[in-house]
Amino acid sequence: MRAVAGGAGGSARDHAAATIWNRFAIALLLFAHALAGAATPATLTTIDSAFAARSDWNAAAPPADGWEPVPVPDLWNRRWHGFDGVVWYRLQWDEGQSLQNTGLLLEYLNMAGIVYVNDVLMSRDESLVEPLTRAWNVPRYWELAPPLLRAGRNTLLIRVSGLSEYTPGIGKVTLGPVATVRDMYDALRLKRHDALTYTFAINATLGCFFVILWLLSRREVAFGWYGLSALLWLGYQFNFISTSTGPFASNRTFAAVNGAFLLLFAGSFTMFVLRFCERRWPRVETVLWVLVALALALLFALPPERRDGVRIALMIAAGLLGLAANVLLLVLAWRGNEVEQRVLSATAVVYLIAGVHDLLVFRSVIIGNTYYADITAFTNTLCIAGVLAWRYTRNLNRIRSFNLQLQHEVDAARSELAGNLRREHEIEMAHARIGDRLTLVRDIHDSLGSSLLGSIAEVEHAPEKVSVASLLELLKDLRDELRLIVDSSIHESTDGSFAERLAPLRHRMTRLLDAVGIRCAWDTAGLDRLELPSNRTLDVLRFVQEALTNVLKHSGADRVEISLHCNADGLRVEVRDNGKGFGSDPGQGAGTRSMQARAQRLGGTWRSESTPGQTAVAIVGIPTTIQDRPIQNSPIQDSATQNHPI
Amino acid sequence: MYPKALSWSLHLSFPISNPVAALELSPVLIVEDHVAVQRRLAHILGALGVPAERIGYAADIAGAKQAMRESRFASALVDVGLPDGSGIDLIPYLHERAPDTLAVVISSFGTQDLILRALHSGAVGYLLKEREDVEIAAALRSIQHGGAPIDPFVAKHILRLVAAPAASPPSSVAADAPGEMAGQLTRREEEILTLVAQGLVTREIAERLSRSPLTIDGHVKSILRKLQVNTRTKAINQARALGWL
Repeated sequence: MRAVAGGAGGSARDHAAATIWNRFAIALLLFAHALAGAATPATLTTIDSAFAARSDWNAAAPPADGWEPVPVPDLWNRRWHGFDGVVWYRLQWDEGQSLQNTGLLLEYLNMAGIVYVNDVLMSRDESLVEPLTRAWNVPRYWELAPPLLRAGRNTLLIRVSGLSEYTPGIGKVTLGPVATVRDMYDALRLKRHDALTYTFAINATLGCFFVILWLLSRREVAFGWYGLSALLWLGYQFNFISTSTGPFASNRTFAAVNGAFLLLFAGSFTMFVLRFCERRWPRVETVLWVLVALALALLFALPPERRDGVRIALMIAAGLLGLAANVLLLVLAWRGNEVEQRVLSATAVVYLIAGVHDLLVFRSVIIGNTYYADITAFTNTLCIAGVLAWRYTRNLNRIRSFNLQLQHEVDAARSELAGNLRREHEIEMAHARIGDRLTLVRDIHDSLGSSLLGSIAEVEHAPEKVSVASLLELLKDLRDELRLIVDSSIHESTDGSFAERLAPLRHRMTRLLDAVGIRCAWDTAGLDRLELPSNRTLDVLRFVQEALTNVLKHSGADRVEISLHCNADGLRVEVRDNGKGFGSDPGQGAGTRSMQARAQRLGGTWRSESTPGQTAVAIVGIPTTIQDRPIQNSPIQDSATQNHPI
Repeated sequence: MYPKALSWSLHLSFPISNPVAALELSPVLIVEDHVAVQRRLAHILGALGVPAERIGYAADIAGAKQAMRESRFASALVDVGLPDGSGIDLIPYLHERAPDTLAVVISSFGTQDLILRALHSGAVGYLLKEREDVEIAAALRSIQHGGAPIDPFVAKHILRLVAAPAASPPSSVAADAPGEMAGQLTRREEEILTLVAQGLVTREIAERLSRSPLTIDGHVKSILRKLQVNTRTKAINQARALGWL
């Protein structure tokens, strides 16, 4: 940790200034390491001599003179300010006579370099001139075997290529028992490499997740900003992971781009805080982004050599913006009432304390102690992700309960509707029943009732004239009438076409006439399409029945033709027989009169002809385009008939 | 229902055909609670050649069952509205004891659904009380000669059973389930039913289809048999489903 604060210099400064979220794993390690460090045995070998000397970029061997004593770890800027080039470090120590395997740990060298032990090459970085290999964050470890070591004086020679802007120098060097030094190396490796890789992957995942979430649900703007800031942070974090300048030609460009990412991150994070707390501050936001844009323009407008001071200042500003965003979060959250915002703001408090502490540490002291920001970064990341996930699931739950409620309401509405429909249907059915009954009553009244009254009057006033035969005839008439009414009320009388309603009468009369030897011939046309109101249908059927009954009773015919034709002129009904004709039978006159009356009621024209061997009665031009259907439409109006005596 | 004072006359203006191929109606059991109707039916049967001593009478279901236990009848005329129940329930009882007995149902106004039930349960025919004696005689004669009575409403009923379920509205006449006889009738049988439903009598159908009335009667009998078989199968299936069989 000392190395991070002091040794890594500029990069570490950026690191601290940027207020790290995501190096939480390191933080845990640091704790573990600190605890373990307290128990480190004091058997490490002491390096008693350390000298450094400058040379040019391409020097293959250390210079003969210019060596100066240096501390280890070392930042050469303190001694040779502004020096870009190669510095050779020569460190020496004593070994006893009994040589053992010894661990050698070099915490880092900044940036690229070559390491020799007793003039034997131990490692060599890939690029020793610009663009330099970015090895500043790579700890190195070797196990030195006795053939490599010498009894007495041993020399560690380190050639470092560095740029003054990025705190060049070397980190702590440790020599000692293999097991001890190896453990230290493992801890450093985890801290400076593995943990960073993990957090990089975690940030990438979170960033992609939230950005995609936002893409699919554009209203969740906070998610979008969070995802964006996580992805921008990756661009900044790349500094700690990459060992090359990547697509950039020099370390200066690399650092500038890196700084740009940090600035953009700070802006996005601020936006996230605003949106997370459901705030829109158009003016503040505009100023923020204008400033960010200006800073970026300034950064890239300057020539690379003069850029560095501005870059560091901007990155500190970005770090301060991050702090400010956290303060903002704190304030907004405690003004509002949202639980999730308060939860997040609590972590912001922890973060703020750590961030301020870290800033003070790296500004005033070179060799710091602990970076609390790492710890808060861990909690912060966890909490932000947790809070957002919580918000997300809460929305899901809201949708679910809304769906349930909706389902409930739909069910309720449906059952209510069903109930209404059922009631309406029942009312309709009741009306229809009343209508049917009224029709029946009217039919009975019209025909059965009137002929009954007529018969009663006849029998009452002239009982001596009533013969058994005429009484029988009377009763049979009543029966036929009843049959007609029954047939038409039992069949789906109100709906069927005229043809259907004719069928029972036709069948019955044909059978009856056939049975007594009168051959029936029916001739129908156009009846399938004919629909008449029930009472009119009944009148037509009565006419047919009456005419056929007359034929049966009086004509003496052996053949009868019944024709019913419906066309544009209306319905024409004709019954023609080959009997002796009427006129001879006085009873027939009354029948004819009643048929005539029926024709009048139906609105048709009555026709009859009668010669022996050829008799015909007909109603022609019965209008068929009648709109009123009294059965269904006006039962109440018809109820008047109920009062008539039957 | 019918005034007892009234004398019924049977005007048979057609010759009774030579009863060589005719089924034997007698002995006949008349199950009817109205004495006038009993007398009327006896009179009609007499005109058809059934001697009065070959006619038995019962006024209710209990009496009819007793009469059936005591002697065998070639045919039974059963009123549907008896004092102690429906005559239709007698038909299975009758067929259980004497499967060959011709069961004929007597019905009055507005009892179409009863007639349908009777046909379902095995009646070979039905008589409508309000018809003229000549018609009743003709109907009995037709049954005697192997004919099958059918009316437009019966035809409609069966057509509904044949039709696709969605095609017909619920019937108020009888509790028939549309489609339950689907595919059981031949095309000719359906054709005949359609004509009957339009009100045509056997003679007219025979003329229209250029077949003999006997052939038409054969078809009608086949149709009614299918109706009964269908009813019986349904009853058996139902009994199986209920675990009675």
